[in-house]
Amino acid sequence: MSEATVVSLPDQSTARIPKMNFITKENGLLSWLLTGDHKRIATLYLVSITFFFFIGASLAALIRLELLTPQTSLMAADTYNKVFTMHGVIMVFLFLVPSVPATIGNFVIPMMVGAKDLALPKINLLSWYLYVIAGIMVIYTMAAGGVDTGWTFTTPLSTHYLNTHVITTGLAIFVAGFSSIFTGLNFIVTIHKMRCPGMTWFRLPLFVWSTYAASLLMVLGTPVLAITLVLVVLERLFHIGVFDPAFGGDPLLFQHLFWFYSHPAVYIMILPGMAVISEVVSTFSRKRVFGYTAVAFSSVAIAIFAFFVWAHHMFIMGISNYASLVFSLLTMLVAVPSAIKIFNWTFTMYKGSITFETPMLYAIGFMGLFTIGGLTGVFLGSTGTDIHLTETYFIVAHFHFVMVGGMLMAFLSGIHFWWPKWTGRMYPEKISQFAAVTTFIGFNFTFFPQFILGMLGMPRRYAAYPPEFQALNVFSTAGATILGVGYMLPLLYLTWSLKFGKIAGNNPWQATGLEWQTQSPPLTENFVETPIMDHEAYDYEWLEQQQQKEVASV
Amino acid sequence: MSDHTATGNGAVAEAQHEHPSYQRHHFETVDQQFDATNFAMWLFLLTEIMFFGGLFVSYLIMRNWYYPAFVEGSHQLSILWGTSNTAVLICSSFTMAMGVWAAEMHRKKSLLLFIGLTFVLGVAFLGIKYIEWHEKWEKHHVPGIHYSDASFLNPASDPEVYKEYHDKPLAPDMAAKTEEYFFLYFAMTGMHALHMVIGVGLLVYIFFRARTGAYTNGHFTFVENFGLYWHFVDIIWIFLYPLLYLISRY
Amino acid sequence: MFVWGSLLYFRIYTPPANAMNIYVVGKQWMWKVEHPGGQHEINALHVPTGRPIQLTIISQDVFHSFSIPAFRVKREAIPGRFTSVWFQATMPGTYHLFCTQYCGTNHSQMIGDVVVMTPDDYKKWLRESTSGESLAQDGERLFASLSCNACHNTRPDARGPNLANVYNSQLTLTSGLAITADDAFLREAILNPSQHITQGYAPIMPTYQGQISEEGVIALVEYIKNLNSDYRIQQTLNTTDIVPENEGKAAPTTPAPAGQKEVKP
Repeated sequence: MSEATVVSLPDQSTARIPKMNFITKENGLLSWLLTGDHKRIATLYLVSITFFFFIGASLAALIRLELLTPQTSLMAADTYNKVFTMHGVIMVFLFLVPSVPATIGNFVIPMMVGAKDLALPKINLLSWYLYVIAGIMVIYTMAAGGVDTGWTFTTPLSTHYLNTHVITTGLAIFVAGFSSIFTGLNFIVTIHKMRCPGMTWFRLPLFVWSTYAASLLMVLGTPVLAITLVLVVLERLFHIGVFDPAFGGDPLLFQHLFWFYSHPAVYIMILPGMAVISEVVSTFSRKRVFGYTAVAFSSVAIAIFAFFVWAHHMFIMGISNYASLVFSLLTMLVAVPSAIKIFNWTFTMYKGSITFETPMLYAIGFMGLFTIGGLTGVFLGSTGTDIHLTETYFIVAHFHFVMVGGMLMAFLSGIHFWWPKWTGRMYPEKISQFAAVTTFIGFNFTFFPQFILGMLGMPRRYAAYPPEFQALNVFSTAGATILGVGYMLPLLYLTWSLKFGKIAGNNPWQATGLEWQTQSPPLTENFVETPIMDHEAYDYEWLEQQQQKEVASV
Repeated sequence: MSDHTATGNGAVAEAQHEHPSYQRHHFETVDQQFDATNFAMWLFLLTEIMFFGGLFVSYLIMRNWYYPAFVEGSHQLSILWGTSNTAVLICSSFTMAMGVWAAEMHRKKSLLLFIGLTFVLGVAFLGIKYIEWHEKWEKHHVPGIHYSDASFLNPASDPEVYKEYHDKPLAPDMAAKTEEYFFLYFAMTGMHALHMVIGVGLLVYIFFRARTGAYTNGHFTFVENFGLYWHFVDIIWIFLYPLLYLISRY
Repeated sequence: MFVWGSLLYFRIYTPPANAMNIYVVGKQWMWKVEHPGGQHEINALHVPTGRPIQLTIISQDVFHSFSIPAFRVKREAIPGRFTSVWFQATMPGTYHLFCTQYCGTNHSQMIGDVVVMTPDDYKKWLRESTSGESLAQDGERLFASLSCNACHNTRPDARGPNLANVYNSQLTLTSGLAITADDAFLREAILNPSQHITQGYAPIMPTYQGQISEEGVIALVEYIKNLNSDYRIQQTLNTTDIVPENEGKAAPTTPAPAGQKEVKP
């Protein structure tokens, strides 16, 4: 790793945080709780999402501890089921789905398109409140005894065979769903209608493109989940319904409806992650993203394909062989736009002047882990191998490689990348690089053994397992502790940097996005005057000329 | 340079307040605001379509499976009430459209009149729905609570419906499936009625805001967007009505 | 890769015609296995080597998934419908049997052993663990005790169709639909009769939903499948039929013990 760095900070002795910014504009709790400012809402989201992330993560720690031994030693099977269900529900619906869009997206999208705010600030605030209500309902569920359906709510198990709090959880997800619908809707409207003069579709940063694609999925997919959960809740209440075969229903119908949302949902989770990576890779390679148009359209292509692959979750469930054939083919097609992205990022780095700041380290981690996650997805998408691998730890490892290795890495990358913009201060570089490497190592230790476990046939969601699987499980648990350290570190040093971090100045990374051309932290209105976009996205030459002009004028 | 810009900021922000009071200041122009909110409403309706789509899919699959049960179940619905409700809703869509027109033309009195009429029609719809549901309740056709499939095992025990359709008795296993029909009937009409209730509530809000002249000063986006919502709820009914009442009538 | 995967998929889920059929019922939280010879097992499955085994799987309550990782075999057990998968064991030994679809509290206890035996050992095992009645005979008993034969008989004025040779025959239903009477059809016709009335008959059959267990339904289906010409003959079906003597390559076949051999149709 070279000592070269792209960071250019203002002179620390004279620099200070701008007095007037979105944080200092108004004071008091109410001014935060009733705000319409997208940056403040993003901050609220950041705090609440971090809170739920750590709840979800401690549940994960409990799961790993329990799996240390083949017997149910730490907790009863029942408790274990509740723990992994709550882990799934919290991580999927309260962390992964809203993580990048609702925090980073909320923060930067209006600035990237050159607007003062999202199109519908009140709806934005409403969506945060819905999120909080959903969160409270989930916490209530946990306090009241939990739920043990698994996050997939398989009927008829969820409708008639369990006596746990399926209804509150279902309604919580219903509410959280509307939160994400409103966020998505807000983004789409903003991107369509709020672009500043000169900001054509093909001058948008790729972050905006990817988030746009994810928003489409939110708007079109989530309502199907919502109505499905309403039906599950009604079915539980009235003991009659469309999903339980004992009452003449069709359990496969539930699977179809559920996965119609929940497959696109994983793209809702990963697309914003890809969005972050595009920005970071370009900035730290000092090059325009290779094949801008291809990357932009691959996001949209992923969004479209996402709606036509849901049945690959059902290959072993007795759908017709020919349906499997079609869905398998479509699933493989999704690999194409994903691969386009990976290759284009690699080509962006090729012959770029790369520097390895923390966001870039996370981004490289993302690319590696996502590639592994994606490629193992092809094994699962291929019907023949799916029969053996599905519902084992292979699935668990695949999902976590894509979601944790992909999305969480991207989230952390984005948080570090925009942290100076957000707070006006830098995070400490050395320790954060250490954290990034720790996370990467811990992650591989945790989840790579799970691929092998899956190949050997260890089924998922098992509180107890045959003793021959123990060695690899111990390995995995050990890795999880390293991973835990990797996650705790950013929480600590980012909090520290709020007070003691170096002053970042407007554009510490020398990045080209419009958000970097304003002060940090930004004004409530983002820009002093409406910016005019007169160059292409990622135009580093333009940036240099700008800076020379400024030097000349001073 | 950041300090440099920050000092000028307060003044600039104030200076930008040279626009109509109803313009939220993160928009550049009123037109942009109108476009954006309008577009948002259309997107929201798209979401709603997907929402109801799930119900429609379930209904169609179940109907295909348990065709005789669904046919006889639908015979229990009153075509008279159904048709009059359809008429009521179409009229209300018309008055709503007229309301939007009145707001656009700055006619406060007609706006109030049409919003009032739409409200009355909306409430009428809910009233009729209540009558229909009440009848189901009395006949023990509410699924899950005290459901009885007597009317289908022995159609003659239900003389009113029987003299019109002369339904054959259903086999017991099929008769039990009529509960499935009524479950979906209540889920679909209930979800629709929930939208109507929200709509009627918003109509009251619009009515009182309109009295202060809020929508007749050139800024009628809210009325227009509400109009879209109202028409959408209407259209959902236009699909529900044939599916539930008409499709398997004769 | 796609083509390869799909070919594999089709092969695993399309059992060969000569496969030996074993029924598997999933239930919270155990696997119940029904051999055609009437042997019942819980959380265990004994199979011979060198023969394709078809599993017909169903669940009594919620989704389960029947998985034998060592054989690369997995199929969801779905409440209310049959699914099937097949394999051919090659090496005698004991293998894991898992439930891989989360099914409630004791999901992780829903495991068992697949015991693969040489054909000889298998025959011995069948003999030792027989309950004395074949699955079809169980079915026959049910058939009589539920009074199915009051309508489904050979009399000219019978109210129900004669079920002899009905399995795998083409039927025309009252709805005009032509359908092959396979396992799934027979099961449905017992539980939801009114949708499966053969043309020319009145919809008078009561439903047996909730009155017989999944095992009962399986026994009935097995019985009906084996109805070849009339009822009497069926009683002669016995356990020795399960492993026919004319196995392809089983050279050192010992003659089946005389006691097991009865009159074959």
